[in-house]
Amino acid sequence: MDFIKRTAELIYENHKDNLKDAAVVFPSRRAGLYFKKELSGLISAPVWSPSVFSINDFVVKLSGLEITDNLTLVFELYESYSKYLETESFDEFYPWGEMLLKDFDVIDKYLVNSDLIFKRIKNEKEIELAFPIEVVEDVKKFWSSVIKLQEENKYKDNFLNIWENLNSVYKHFKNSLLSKNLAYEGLAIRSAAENIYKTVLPYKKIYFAGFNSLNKCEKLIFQTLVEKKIGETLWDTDKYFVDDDKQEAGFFIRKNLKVFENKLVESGTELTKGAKNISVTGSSLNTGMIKAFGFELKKFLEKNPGAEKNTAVILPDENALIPVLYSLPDNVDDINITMGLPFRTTPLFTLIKIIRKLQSGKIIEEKRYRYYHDDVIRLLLHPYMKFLFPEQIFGFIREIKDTNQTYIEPSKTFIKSLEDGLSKDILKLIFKPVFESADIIDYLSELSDLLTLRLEEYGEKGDNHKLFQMEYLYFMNSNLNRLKDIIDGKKIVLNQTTFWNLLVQQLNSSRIVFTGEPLKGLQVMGLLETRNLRFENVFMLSMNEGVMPAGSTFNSYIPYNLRKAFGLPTYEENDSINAYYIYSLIAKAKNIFLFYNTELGNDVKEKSRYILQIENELRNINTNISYSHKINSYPIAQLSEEKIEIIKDKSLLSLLKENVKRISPSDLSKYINCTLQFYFSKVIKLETEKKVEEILSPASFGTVFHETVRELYKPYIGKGVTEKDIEDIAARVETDFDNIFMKVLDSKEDLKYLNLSEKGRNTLSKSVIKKLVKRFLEAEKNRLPFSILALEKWVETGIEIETGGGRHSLNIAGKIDRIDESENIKTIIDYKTGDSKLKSLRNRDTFFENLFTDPGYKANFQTFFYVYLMYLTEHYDKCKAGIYALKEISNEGLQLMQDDIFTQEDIKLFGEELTKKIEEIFGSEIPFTKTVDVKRCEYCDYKDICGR
Amino acid sequence: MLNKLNIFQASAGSGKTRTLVKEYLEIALSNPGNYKSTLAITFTNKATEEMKSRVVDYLIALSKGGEQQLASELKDSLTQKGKLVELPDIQNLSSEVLKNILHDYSNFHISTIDSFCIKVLRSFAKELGLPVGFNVELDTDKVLEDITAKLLDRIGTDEELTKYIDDYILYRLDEGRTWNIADDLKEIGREIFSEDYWKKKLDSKTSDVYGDRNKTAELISEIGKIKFTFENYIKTKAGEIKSVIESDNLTHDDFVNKSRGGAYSYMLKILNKNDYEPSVSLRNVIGKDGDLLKTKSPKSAIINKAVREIVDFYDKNLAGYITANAVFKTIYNIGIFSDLLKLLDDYRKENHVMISADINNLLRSLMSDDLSPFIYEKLGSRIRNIMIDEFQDTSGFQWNNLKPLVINAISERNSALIVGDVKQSIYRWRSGDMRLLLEGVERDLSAFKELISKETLNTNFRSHKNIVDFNNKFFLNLVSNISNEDETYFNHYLSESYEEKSLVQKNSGKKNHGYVKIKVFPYNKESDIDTNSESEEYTKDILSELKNDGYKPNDILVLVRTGAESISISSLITSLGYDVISEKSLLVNNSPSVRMLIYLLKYISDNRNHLAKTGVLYNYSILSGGEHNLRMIFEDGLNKRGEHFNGIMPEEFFKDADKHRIKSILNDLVLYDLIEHLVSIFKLDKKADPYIIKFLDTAYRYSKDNDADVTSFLEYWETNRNKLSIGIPENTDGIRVMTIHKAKGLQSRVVIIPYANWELDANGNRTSMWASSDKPPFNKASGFFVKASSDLAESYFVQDYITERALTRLDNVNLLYVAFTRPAERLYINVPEKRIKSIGNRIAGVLNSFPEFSEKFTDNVFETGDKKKASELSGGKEEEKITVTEQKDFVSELWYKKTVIKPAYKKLKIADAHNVKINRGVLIHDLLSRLKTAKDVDGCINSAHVNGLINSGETEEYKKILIKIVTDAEVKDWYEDNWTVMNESEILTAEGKTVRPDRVLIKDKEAVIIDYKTGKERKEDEEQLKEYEILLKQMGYIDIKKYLLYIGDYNGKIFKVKEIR
Ligand code: SF4
Repeated sequence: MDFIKRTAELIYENHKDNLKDAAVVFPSRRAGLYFKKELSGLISAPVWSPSVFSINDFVVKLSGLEITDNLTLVFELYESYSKYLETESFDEFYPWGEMLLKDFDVIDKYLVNSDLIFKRIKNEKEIELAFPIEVVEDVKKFWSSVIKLQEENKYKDNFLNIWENLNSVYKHFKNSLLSKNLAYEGLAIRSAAENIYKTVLPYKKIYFAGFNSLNKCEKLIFQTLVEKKIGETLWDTDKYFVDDDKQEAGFFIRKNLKVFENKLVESGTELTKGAKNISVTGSSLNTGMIKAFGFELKKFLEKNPGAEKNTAVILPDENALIPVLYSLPDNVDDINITMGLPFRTTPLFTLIKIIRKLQSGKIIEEKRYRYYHDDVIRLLLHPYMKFLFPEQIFGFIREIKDTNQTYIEPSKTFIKSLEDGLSKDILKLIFKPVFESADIIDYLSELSDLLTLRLEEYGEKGDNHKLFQMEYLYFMNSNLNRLKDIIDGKKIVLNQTTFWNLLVQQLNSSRIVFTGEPLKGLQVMGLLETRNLRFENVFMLSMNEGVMPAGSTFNSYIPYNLRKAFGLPTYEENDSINAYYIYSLIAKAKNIFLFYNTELGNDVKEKSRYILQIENELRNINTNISYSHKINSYPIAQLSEEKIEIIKDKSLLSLLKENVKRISPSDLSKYINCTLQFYFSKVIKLETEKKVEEILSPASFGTVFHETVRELYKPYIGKGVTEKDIEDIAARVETDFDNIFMKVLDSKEDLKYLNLSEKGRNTLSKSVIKKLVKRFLEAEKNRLPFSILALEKWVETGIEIETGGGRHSLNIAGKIDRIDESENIKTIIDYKTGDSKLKSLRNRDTFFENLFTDPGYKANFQTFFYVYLMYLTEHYDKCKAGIYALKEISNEGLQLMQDDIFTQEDIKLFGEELTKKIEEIFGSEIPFTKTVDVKRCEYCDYKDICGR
Repeated sequence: MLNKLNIFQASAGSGKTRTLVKEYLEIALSNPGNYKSTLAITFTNKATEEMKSRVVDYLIALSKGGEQQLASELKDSLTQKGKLVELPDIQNLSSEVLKNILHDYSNFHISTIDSFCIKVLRSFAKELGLPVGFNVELDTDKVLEDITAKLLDRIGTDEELTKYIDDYILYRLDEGRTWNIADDLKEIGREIFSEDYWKKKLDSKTSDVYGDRNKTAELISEIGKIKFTFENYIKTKAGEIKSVIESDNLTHDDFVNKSRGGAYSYMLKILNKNDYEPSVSLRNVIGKDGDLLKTKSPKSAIINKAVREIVDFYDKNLAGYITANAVFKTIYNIGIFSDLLKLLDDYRKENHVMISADINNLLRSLMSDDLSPFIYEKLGSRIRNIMIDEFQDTSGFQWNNLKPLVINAISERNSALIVGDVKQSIYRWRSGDMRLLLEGVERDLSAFKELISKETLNTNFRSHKNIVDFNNKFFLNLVSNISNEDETYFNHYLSESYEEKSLVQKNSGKKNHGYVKIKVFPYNKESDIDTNSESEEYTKDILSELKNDGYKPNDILVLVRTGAESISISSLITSLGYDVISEKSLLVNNSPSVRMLIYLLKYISDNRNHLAKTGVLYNYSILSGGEHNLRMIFEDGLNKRGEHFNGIMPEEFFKDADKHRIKSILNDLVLYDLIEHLVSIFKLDKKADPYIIKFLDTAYRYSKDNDADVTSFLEYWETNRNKLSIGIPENTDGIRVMTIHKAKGLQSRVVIIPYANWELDANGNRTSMWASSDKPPFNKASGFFVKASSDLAESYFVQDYITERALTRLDNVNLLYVAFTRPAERLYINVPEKRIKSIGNRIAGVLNSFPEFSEKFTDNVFETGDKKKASELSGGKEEEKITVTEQKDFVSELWYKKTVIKPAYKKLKIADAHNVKINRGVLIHDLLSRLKTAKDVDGCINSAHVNGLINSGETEEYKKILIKIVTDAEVKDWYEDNWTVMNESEILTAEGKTVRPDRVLIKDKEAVIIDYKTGKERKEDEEQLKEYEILLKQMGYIDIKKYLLYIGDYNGKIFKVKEIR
């Protein structure tokens, strides 16, 4: 029989004439709602309802104190703490403060004498004198371990120093709260309990219904009222865990039943006799588990239409809420959420963190504030922003990337060009520089107001997505108000780092509590919210140790044995409480589905003990349980790589001719590497993603190096270079490098915003290039004397090739880094910034074959290409060619492809092979396909298309 | 066996887990509460779970009278020990213990070493100065990324750092390596977590220079001095001699050994090549006290003397010089390192995390034998018995952190147990230190010598007889083959690890067949053929042989050393038409659905990213199946057309008519929501596969722990796309390809090792090592991170160097052992020999030089044992207790429309076109309804303040308003003590409704109903009051008045009191 219903009946029976005389106290508010519903089923005419309280509300009423929020409390505690102990900044103190607060809270709830628990003991004799006999043993256990440590030990000393002072902190803290009529829970209930004997209450009877574990204060209150014949206790129990004294679910109930009467006569037998289906499903990964749940729910509702309103989905892990919502099948009509959602999983929290980074990373230059590009882009792509001006925002981001700006000032540039209105105001506001706590608070609350407006304006009517966002905003706003209040009240100024840390930390650990319509639809709820309730069908997720139950990480500063000595709860008690919830829920349900994650990890432990208990005990006791346990798996599809083959039919060939009118050595290198890569990048020009370069990319690095050398050698073009010249250049590099460098950057459209003179890693590129240039000049000395004929020379010429469809002409072209001449022999030189090595020309047959098929011959190929170009255009017939591989420059100097000059024969041979290759490209025979050699894909941009 | 420390050497396949569980049960059954004080430490979460469930399963079986064999073993040993007065009744004891454990599961202490350490660390966070209540960050890379980025940002501002970095870059340029040092810094950064570093730090007797810039600079200059003094002395001297020689017109021919090792050539070598080493031939002359000159010269004496001085000087100072040189090359490390340490500290504080790689290092300073009782007191666990598994992988610090427990256990005459196998120690790169198992533990616990017993588990239950025999002989011979070398230090580790007693295994008696085949592919310098591809070619034959003999793909395990090898062999096997399960095939990014999702995310972040758009289109087409026109897909973006794209994308993807904008809702979502939406829109939920599930899970986890924006997720993806893989789903068929490291602990019917040829002296990617010396000035730093090059053998770092080398070799032999001991029935080993010396040469060496092998070794093939058909050997697998069902689709539904929450913001704020204002009307309404009488104004305001409805600045203002209202002449009476006030009371109706009027005043049968209104007057307001009246009438009130109180301008002036009649 339903506990709440029985409670309602009992009270109705007892107070039929004037229900107002009765008060009922439940562990939670929610149970009260169900209670009233049951009660109204019993009456025939309207009546004043009995007073219904949650225990917390009841305590507040009794104590007359106001329970305030954690932030305020930790602030107060911080003040008290600093009076006695050294403190760090507030943000660092915050988690520590929260822990202390919890300890103080529990000390009060268990009516502990703080003088005793925080007493520092120097020898064991003291213990017997000071402590009540029943705790002496445990206290000794702890303190003797400390006393035995004779030597100085900084960890022990740290501990003692804090411990000795905690009592003073505690007292100071408590008094300062009381002077403001404020309290934390423990303080309020302790004051209520200590005064309960003389308290007069306006009820004839008070029923305490559905409790399980009681702290000492609650116990005292209940007992006193029972003695005064005002109080009655009603317990929600089942024979299974009352009778089995090892079953932890009954740990408290068994104790309580020894002290209190149960006005509801007898325990239920639903666990030992009731007919139930229990189905356990394991699935790999959290998401896998959640999706398995969705699948089961769907099947269940299909088989049991209308069961929705009797169904609860229990999420012991609140992080699962959002994924679970997405996994509710379409045969669910109404969803009611009653649980906390961690604020850190909301988009708003992400936004706050982005803004924090944005604001902390801003720089000031010439009185203008500029923001780091990465933060700006992230901000603009945030869902709350992106939609403001979708087209413009994408455009702006593209501009940042194209022009390679590392620091930007959107308020003066991009935002200016936007249309006036709310959206613009939002962006304007965000890019306002703020520095200290009060300003930041105002800034953020204004932002949250504007965002609220924007949601009102853009969100669709009845759009619950919008409703959720509004809740987030409201939640943050009230937090900010709190902070503002505290900061104003205490007249403190926090610097921006501290403030942001504090805010983020505090939001990070807070949760937004949703309350749905409890009496309607599918209920999605936390475990705690199920207290005293009854559902016919229960789906429970995350049935893994560490979640169910939450596990033994007990956050307390009070050592274990002292906790025990003073009767404070330990994790064993927590486990029992948890067990009570789950067994109560199972007792009342008919269909129970349990889900767990089979993929163990650092935060996922084995399946819950409750599954073991049910599997090995409960189902043996209760023969009416039908039990099943299965593993759910998702079928793996063998993935075979898709073939890509682009046949060169007529239309493709014409596209090819259209789009590839000029071929450069690097184009051909691409083709040699992989024909498909050539198709993607040259034929259809599939652009790859742009990123802002902070450190010069390898490509830009090369460009900058080339340009720098050109700049340095410019005055010597056409002249002979002497050792003196090189030394002059070196001297110039030493003294004037910054200018040279800036000049080079300025000349390049996509590099001119790159401010490499700034601090940070950007400066590295500059200093590296400088070093390289110096080494380069060193190496140049070995080649003296020479005269420079050309630098960065563009060479282009037309050729004709034979294709299936007749002759076709196109250009081949390339930029030659440099040509110089000494002793009548010209040398064509390429600077290589990447990994490059020339292969020797010794074995001519394989050499020429490899040149056109093996990407490992890229450097040779390109250099040879230049030789051929010069041969074609300027009839070079006596030349050498080589590369400066900059990485190897100190060891290798200039690497020549061969020591001798190229023979006419070789050049011509190259030309023939080249033509053949180009003919192959423009011929229809060989389609564009993926290379067989996967290693060639390593640096290819199209990897994800090819699946390489 | 209780009451002492048992060290079990458990070779491969020797039933280690069962032994461990049996030992555990022995302890647990000897007293029903024992489980509470027994801690079993395992290495992985998986092992933890496995052991827990094994214990529980055995207990269940025992309590039902099953597992007879085990029961009688337990009975014997429990009786023997005489712990029990009566004969133990295993069945009843088991039921009792089972029940205890199931209902006190939190005290069932089987955990990984890390989670144990974290627990300790947590309880001492405050004392250690660590962030209280920290989270544990597992992603070391992420942390390194962050702190190295911060370090780089200081360049230019921090002069010294800039200098270090500059030096560093120079060094790299000298080495011909890339100048983008960010990745490299991360490698150095990794060392701040390395135990080697911390060990050096803790061992060092003097104070450390790390962290002190002045001292660092001093040390650097001192070390520089050693280097330069050495060089300068020799060079100057050589210069002098050279001019003497040249002034005397002597040439090479005038010297003994002429230009090859003559004194003159030595001088030139010094001066021109900076090579200071005297040649052997020169030393010969000097050693024999001979004249360095062949011809007579007046300068002969001077030259002879001076050259000897150089050589003398060289010999005396060489060690210091090499040391200085080694350090000097990487001197920047010292500077960078200490900065990174500081940054790491900041990182911890700022993010409130502990980095998991850091935990043992930090705990090390806390854990000492004296402090341990205090530690366990604070922790609250009383551990009396301890068992440690996989001990060969335990690091020095881990051992140190567990040692107090072990000592505690043995000194209180409880039980401690250590299980491991030195031969299977292959995790040195994760700080595992097999020396502990070999000798360290006994050394550390020498005080308890008589309580330590060592035992070997030497029955092999896994492999068939012929394989066991082969391995016994093979490794004995391999070790003796290697031992012919003169590196005593190395031999010591090797020979003790592979000592006959612990190596040689007995066969279980049940498995009497087995087959081993080794094929060597000799290397030929001339032809330079790729022996690897020969071996691959041959692997095809092996596979078809196996097929013919009835083996199924999932009977076969292919073991490789590296990822590259895995890719290479996998593609071969796939090309033969087999399914392969390899690291790559399990990569999430391997799935077209996932790739489409990634491209979609990219596209949504930049709608002009054509590559992304094409990627979406392409993958979508693949997923839709059927024929697709590739050119239409790829060329769709040409000339910005995108018609095909718009044509085939699902309708829901677009909203606007021009279809150029992505549906607005997508723009409005955060990462996880976005992905679920896309899954739903693209109907990926209709065909479930583990890749999508894993992808969703990745996004879910990522958003839980990080900024959940799409951009950073995509970055995260970029760096992790080659790491994220799915687990092997149940019931999957395919040949498994795995690295040996991953395969540790696994077994398979057939094992193929296609590339048994790794280098004996290669140590993965780590080419540097920590070294230290007590010679000044090198003792001023706790250690140096230097390149492990062979000249260190002559430096002050010799000890560290030799150790490093010895352990590296041992690692590589161990890998072979692990690989060879995986198979049950067949083992195929291919040895493609290489130019360089490798383990493969050793294998060939064994086959050639020991008669028992060479007899069977012909034509490069060695064979032993018998080939049975698969069906003859299969013992039939154990029945799975739990059924596995396949789920073919899953739910991804958009839920917003059907969700109900009660908004808390309750219209407390109102937004008009330009402003958001507090809705003061609602607020005042709220305040008034809390008010019982005029006396409550203060309390009411206070409570509203505490509850965050109004802030401190506003309290006065609202107080005034309230006072104004309750003192208003017209309504004053209602707020005095003359009435029973019902302001928080509800009326229950029989229809099941609860109704709550704002304020009802009662005196006997007389009642006044008051409702506060803040807006304009409305007709409906009266209706509501009338309903209340009906209710009150039914409740027996006779004289009922009703009022509406309009508080229009919120300034406390009542706008209107209106009585309704
Ligand atoms: S990924 Fe590989 S196959 Fe694909 S285009 Fe690039 S190089 Fe060719």
